[in-house]
Amino acid sequence: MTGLASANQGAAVAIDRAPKVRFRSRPVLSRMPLRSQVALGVLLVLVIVVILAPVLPLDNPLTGDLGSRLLPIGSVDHLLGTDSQGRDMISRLVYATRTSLIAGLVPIIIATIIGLIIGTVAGLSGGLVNTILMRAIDILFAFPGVLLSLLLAITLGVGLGTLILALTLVWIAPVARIAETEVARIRDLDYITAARSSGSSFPGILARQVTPVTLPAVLAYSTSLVGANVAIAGGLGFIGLGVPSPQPELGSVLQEMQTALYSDPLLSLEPVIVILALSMMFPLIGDGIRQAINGRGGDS
Amino acid sequence: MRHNRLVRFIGSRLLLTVITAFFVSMIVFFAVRAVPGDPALNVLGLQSTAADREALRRVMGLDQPLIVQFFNWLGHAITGDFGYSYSQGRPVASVIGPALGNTLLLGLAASILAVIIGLAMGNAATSRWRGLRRTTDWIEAVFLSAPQYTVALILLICFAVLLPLFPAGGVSTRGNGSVTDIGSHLLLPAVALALAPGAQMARSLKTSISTLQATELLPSLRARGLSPLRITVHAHHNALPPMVTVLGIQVGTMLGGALFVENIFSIPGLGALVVQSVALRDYTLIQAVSLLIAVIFIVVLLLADLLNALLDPRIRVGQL
Repeated sequence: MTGLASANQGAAVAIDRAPKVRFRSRPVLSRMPLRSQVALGVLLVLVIVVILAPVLPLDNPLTGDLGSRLLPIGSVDHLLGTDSQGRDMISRLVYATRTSLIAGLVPIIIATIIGLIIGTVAGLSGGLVNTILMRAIDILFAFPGVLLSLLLAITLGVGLGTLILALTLVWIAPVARIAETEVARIRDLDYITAARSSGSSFPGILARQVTPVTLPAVLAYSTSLVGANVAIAGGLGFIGLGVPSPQPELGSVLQEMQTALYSDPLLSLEPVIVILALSMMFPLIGDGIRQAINGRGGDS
Repeated sequence: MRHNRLVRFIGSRLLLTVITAFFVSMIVFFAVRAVPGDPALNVLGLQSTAADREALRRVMGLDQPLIVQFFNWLGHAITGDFGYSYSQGRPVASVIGPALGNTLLLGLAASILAVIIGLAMGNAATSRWRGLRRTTDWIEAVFLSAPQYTVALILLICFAVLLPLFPAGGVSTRGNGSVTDIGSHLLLPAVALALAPGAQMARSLKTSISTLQATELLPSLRARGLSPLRITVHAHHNALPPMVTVLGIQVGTMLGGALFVENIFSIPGLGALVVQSVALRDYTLIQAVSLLIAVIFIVVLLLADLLNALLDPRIRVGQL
């Protein structure tokens, strides 16, 4: 008897004295696979270039020299050529990327906040509230995303602000669904029950037990979504439903460069490659965040 | 007993489809009706008199309450009457007919390609060779995130402009409706639409097969002396239901991508029609085509679920 008690005491002391093991001591960035780190690096460079665009030695993206229309790639003053109005393509692409990054990032940021709230409420409340919210989200899922964004873009009218609003509305449902799934997964786990029975308040559980689990997963998903969102925003610009004409946006630049499709195919390929790169970068980063959270980092 | 459950599953699934279709049609109707501006003014132009516009508004039923307008529109749409397209100068139904055929043909071609891509990449991703697995991983990442219209433009520039192997647009050469001719017209746009869905299916197949590899099933089949081919067939049978679900969902991606891809390859389908009607601000046509695309997607999701019920007995006996 006494032996057992002292053994227990010994164990307790041992636990007390145990060196504090810090799990996941490596920072998130280093737990990402290489390709995600590269994508993140490229994104950072792009963001810096785009922010510094007004002070960089770039031609005016809105005015061109009509005498030098559709110059090929590698021209002396215009390394990436010019468009059908003689505007420098480097400058056009830099400013277009700025608009597209805004149209790509802002809707996802807003939709993530709203979707996270809706999904958490639906996941925690269960019952009728959950059923109603999730059925409504199911109905939105019955729309091809591109079609829904197109309808909203028509309804709200043309412009950067309305485009951002339309795209935000499109992405709330997917984010909410992921958040709901995550919350429903952990809702009845023992540690939450333990927190509840030890008297934690509802906001306390939300802040300490639920959000730390759901937030990283939702963030990883949302980061990937930025790529799809850049693609849809570009597509809407391509069919004339994006940011109105003088302001360059990747989709509308893509549309304008179609005039060079047969005369200079490589020139018309430039905006395609930028959109392709942007839409691939974000899923790579999102994947990296996911792997870093799951602790599977590196080669799988 | 078993049949009862199957009937109940189909019944509840049908009911859900009808309810979804109803709400979807509501969104389509009200989204387009909420567009600022007077439809009558759109049709008649700025030179028209107020009296003319008022008369047209009565003919179009715009003087009635919105909710009445909605049910009128829905009632007519169900019977195939989508109203009159002012930009085309003929009934919407006669505009939609040929376009629907082209889009379904393109969608079918893309779906077949997606299944082939999915099977090939899914198997490559679970192969024994590390190099092949890693390469497939990379290709999958590219396929999943490349927007369909960028793929379409790259294919167009590479294989129709720089290397003129395929025609750059249309569904068939005039006066030549042979299968090879249509096939060569549809191959590039179908590939552009099929890459992302194919990669999604590959992902699902990969998950199923690696889950299966973690169990004792495959070694036990091998121990019973089944040939490698038979074992592969067993593995794929298990992987089929989730793949069917993924394909159903991915039809939505294809229909969305068709909006741009049909435009790039000048295929006169539903997607090109939407873009055209947006440019011409022909709201009757936008409503009709959007509804049709959404309904096609809902029906495909229903078919995928029903097919799954036949493939996977657990679905019809389990919960919905």
